[in-house]
Amino acid sequence: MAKKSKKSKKNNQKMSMKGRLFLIMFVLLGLAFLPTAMLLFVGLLPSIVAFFVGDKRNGARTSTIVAMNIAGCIPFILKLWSGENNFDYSLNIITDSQSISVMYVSAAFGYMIDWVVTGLVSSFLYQKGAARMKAVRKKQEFLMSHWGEGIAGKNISGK
Amino acid sequence: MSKSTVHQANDHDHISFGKNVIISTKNRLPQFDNGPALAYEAYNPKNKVKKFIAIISSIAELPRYNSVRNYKNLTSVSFLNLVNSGAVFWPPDNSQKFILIYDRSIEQSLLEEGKVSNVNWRHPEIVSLLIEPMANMIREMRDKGFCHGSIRPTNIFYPSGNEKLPVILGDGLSVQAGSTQPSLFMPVSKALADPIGRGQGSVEDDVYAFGVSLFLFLSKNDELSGLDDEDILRKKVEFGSYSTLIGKERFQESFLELLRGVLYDDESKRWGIDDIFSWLDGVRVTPLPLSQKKKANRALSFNGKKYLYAELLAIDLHKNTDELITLIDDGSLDRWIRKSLDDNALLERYDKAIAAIYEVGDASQNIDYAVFHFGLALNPALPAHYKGLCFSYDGIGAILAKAAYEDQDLSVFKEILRLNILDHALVAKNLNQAIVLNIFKQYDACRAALSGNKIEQGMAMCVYTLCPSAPCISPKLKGFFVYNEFSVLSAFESLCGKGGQVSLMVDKHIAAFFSARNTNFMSSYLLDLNSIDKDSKISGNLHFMAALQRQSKIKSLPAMAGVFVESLSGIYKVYKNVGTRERIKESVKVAAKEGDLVIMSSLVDNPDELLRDEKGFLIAKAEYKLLQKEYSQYNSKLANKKTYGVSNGHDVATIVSWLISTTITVIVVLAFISGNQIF
Repeated sequence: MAKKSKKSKKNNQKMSMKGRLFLIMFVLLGLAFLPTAMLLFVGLLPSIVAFFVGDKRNGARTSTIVAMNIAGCIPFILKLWSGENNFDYSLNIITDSQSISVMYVSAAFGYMIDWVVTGLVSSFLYQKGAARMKAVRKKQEFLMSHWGEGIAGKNISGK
Repeated sequence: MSKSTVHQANDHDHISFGKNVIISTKNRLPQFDNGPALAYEAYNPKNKVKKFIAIISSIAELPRYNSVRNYKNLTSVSFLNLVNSGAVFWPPDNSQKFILIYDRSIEQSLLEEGKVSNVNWRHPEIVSLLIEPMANMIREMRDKGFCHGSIRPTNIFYPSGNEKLPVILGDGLSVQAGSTQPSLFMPVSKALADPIGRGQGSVEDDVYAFGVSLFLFLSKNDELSGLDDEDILRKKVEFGSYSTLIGKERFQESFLELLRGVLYDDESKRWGIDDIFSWLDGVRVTPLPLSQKKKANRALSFNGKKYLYAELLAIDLHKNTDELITLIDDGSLDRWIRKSLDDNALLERYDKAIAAIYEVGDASQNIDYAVFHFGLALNPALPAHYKGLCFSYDGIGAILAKAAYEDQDLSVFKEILRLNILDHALVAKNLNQAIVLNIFKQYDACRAALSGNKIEQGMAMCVYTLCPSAPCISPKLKGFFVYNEFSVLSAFESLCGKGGQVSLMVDKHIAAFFSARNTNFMSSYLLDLNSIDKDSKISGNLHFMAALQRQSKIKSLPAMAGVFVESLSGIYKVYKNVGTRERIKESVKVAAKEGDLVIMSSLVDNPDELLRDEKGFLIAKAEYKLLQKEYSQYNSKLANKKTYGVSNGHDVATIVSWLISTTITVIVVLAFISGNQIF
């Protein structure tokens, strides 16, 4: 048993061939478009942190943050691409406090969306579940009132 | 079982029986009495000239209500015409009686008690007015499975107003066959038995009684008047019936021939009805030899008497059992039988009796059993004698029924059955094998009933198995004459009307009565009646009474229905649906108001409705189970409010976030394309 769990851990740690290929492509693309890659790396740092810090089984929250974080980075990527599109210009954008604030606040906004919407939805679903439970109990009581306690499999007197 | 009517009384002096008969309780007709069954005058209220004879019989007389149908099938005009029969409340005794209503077409009997005939009929008249009609009647009775059992000169009548017409035979239904016959009219084999234990009667007995009646009619001297019944019986045993009766009488030769044939003691050789008709046709029949009893070469002293005949000793064995034990112990009886009586058949019977007695134990320890076996060995024609009871193999039932009705101790009857006394008595009669086997079955059924605990078993079952004419003597129905479906319902309706009745109406007697009379009918209800569950018992009672109502065609029994409807609350539980239960309850109440037990019974146990209910219940049960599963799932999920729906919330948040993100991106791109920079 212990041998088996060790083996599966080893498999998880090892990256698949597809993953490796994707990583190589990603690195090559990053090298090819270095200014953009650098901007994105810095701009998407909250997403990267969320990815590693958050619950990996529930990637929904990371996805929410990523979506808003990307939206926050888009204007600056366009700015980079429409300008000199070099390493210095990219560094200028990154070091500009307004730019980095916009990117990071948008990520924070994503986090806030996740917190608010999740709270609303879970509360709504809880109420819905409680209402359903009530309805089920009511239906059961109705059936019992029509067919007696024997319907619940209880041993009652009579034939 | 025939449908009959239970009639209501008007007042003490005039009791109406049906629409066309009123019985005058003040006008007795003693000449038509049949022993304890008393005769009264009755008339048609619409036509008072039309007179009837009403013969009133109580349960103790065990009237043969089961033979009424057979009697009605008799077509000969020489039978008294039976107009009606049934149970009626008899105010003088404050209880129901069985009543037989006959046409009053007779007046004077052939002979008055203790008198000789003063009618001067010649031979042809005696033949045509007495012998021929009697022979015709006996033949018809034989053909239609009926025996009269009360043929005697005081119960044979001249037709009203004309002594030159064939005689008419009086009542034979109001009492057990032979139970009211003086022992003179019974063959030795039955005369000794207790009157009510003489059995169910037979054509042979009727032929014998006819022979004695003819003898008395022909006799001009009353030679027998000086002898009591026992003396006559002893003479009959010693010399034979024919020799005893005829004595010094001088009759015409042809009559002597007839009397010799019909009074022959050996039942198997006695003239039958065909022999009588041969005699009527003038055919000469070989005369039967007079029976010769084997005389011992040395007398046996017993109970202060000297006995030379084994047959006579058999009669007296029970009179001194202490001396009998001495005779057995010192071997006197054994030596007398083996050495003084040269009778191999008797010796063989004696050895069998010894073997049977010692199978049970020492003779001195159970002397009554020894008396029975020795009696049977010494004279197999005699009825069985055990512990003070004397009965024929088919007569014990009537004695038992009477004893049970009078609440006597019945342990002696249990002994009789368990010691196979009836079986021994039956075997000694040398009857037809098929008849014997049939009777053995009855005895076996009784023994099985004795050891059973079911409602239809026990001594009650023995009563009704062994006595086919016993009415139901249930203590619940005391004071009622209950003999068929109609009378049971009428009795219970009357009792329920008075109040204080419970719905568990069927007791051991009622169950045994119907089980013995109609096994197939009763078997359908025994399962419920034997149930330990009270509701099942009530249900069984209702179904049974409903079946009786259906059979008897009584339209309304409101009092009984009222008693049942009060106790059915548990029975409705058979229906699981509350709505159906309430609907059935209401319908039962409506049926109860109409006194319809049949509808009530079908409502509480309607197979279609029950099937529908059961199917509905199973569907509802499955639905309940699914709902319970769903409830449990929700219950476990909602147990932690903090985590419930969070995953879905994240998913929704992702979608929202991506939508906003996409929208912002599109706006930024469009702004960028149009030359506007946001930052």
